[in-house]
Amino acid sequence: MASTSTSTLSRKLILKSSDGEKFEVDENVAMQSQTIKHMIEDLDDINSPIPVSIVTGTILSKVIEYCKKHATEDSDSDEQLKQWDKEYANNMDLNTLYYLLLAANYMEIKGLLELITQCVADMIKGKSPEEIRAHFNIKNDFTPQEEANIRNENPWAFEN
Amino acid sequence: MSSIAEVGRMERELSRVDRLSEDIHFPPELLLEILLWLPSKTLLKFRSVCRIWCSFIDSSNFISLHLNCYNYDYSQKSIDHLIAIQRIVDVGCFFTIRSSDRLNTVADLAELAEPYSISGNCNGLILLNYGWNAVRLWNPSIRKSLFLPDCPIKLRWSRIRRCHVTYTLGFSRSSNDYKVLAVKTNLPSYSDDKAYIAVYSLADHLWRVKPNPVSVSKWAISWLSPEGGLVCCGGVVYWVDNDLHRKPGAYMKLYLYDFDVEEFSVMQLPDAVKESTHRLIFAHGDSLAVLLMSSESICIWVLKKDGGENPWRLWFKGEPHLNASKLFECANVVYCKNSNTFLLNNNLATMSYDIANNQIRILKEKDMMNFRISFQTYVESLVLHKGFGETITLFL
Repeated sequence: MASTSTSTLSRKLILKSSDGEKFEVDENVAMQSQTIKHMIEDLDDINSPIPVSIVTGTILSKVIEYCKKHATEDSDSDEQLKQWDKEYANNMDLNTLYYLLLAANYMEIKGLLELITQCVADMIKGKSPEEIRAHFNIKNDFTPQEEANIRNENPWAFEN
Repeated sequence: MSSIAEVGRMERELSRVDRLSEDIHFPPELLLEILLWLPSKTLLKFRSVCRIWCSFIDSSNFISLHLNCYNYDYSQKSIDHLIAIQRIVDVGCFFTIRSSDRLNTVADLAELAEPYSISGNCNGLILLNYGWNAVRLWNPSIRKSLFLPDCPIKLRWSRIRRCHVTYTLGFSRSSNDYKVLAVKTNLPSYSDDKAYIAVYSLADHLWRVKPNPVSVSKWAISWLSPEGGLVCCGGVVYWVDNDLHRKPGAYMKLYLYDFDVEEFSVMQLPDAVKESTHRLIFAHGDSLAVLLMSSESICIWVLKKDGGENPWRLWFKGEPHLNASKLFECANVVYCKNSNTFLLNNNLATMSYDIANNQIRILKEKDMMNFRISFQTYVESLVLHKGFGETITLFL
């Protein structure tokens, strides 16, 4: 994280979302995405917009908000950063959270991926298997007998 | 193509219902990333969601990833949990999960008629030991237990007791296997420097006797004490030589048994040990740490994983509390990583010591004369969940 040389610090990059929205960001902000980092290495012209092909403008702006905060880590203590992360994730509605998760995965931003996956895990922890299937659009592919067997292996896990 | 405003409106609308919009397709690797942050009980429940989830959760790769992520990387978790063992004379013992901040009971675990004690705790797997030879592994987070086969160097019944067996638990990273080390020594009155060694492996559920005995004095084995003295972390079990008759100037060393190579070795403690009046080793996440207290300072050194010339890193330095030296004479000390406090337990009370703020708080006074309680770190893990067939018992 701390390996920023002064020459690259002020460079600007342009990110382009799937719906054509453009964002100008500092290079060290964008470089938190491993995907963009690799793209830049292969790029001849630094001034041409970098396409972030599966991420919409709405989601990309949220990704950039996160990356900006984490690019200037020296201004905040670990504790403050943790608090900021928490509020950032708590202000998302469910679908934004999942689109953000897909974006963090595609853009390979480890910190954001961990933050969102932990937040989703907290959300689904108390749910029943039936609620989980409805939540993730999953089809139950067990036979009733198989499902009963799995329940009987650990009956206590199904009590509250 | 829809405009941004339209996408925004759609997103807001979808968010009103508590389910994912149907056009979001979830790649399996993301599912894995989410499941890593769930406690064992929830994972056992979610095995019944569908075949993919079940095979994910049951895979040995997931089980080891989950152990590390959930217990050591989970930043939203704020309170450590502990296992409390209460032993009541002539009744037996019972186990509960407690929160480390107030010692509230989070869940009841098990009640046993025999007064078991804990002789090892590694990655959430606990080694229980009762009498001379009853040894079992227990994973409290999935409520399962496995009796070990008879140890080949176990004690035989006789009118005169000549020897002693210490059991301890560890993990071998190279073979991804849990192992139990059994060390048989003669009682001090029979001056004999030989210690006999046997190692049990969970992968094949067998004991193996080491062909040659080792020297008791060379490895400070006579000071091995299962409760408090042995610290297991990162595939190694550590202990210090607590010989009270040590010559002045001869400083305490750190002894270890590496479960990967199945060998004993010895290393130096940080130089600051020379000025210290009190010393304590404990597990700091999956690294070993040593607390050194002198009249001027209280320091925590952490053993770096890559070792090298200077394996000790100073992790904390602060002012010692006036009563702290007394506290560290407690038989039972547990370090709580999330709150950076020590939990200390003696015959009178259970206390917490917040070293950064230099505060000591009494959490619970002892209320019964014949009532002994001690604590261990509680870890969420799925180890023992699969692969032992009928030998596994549900242990509630």
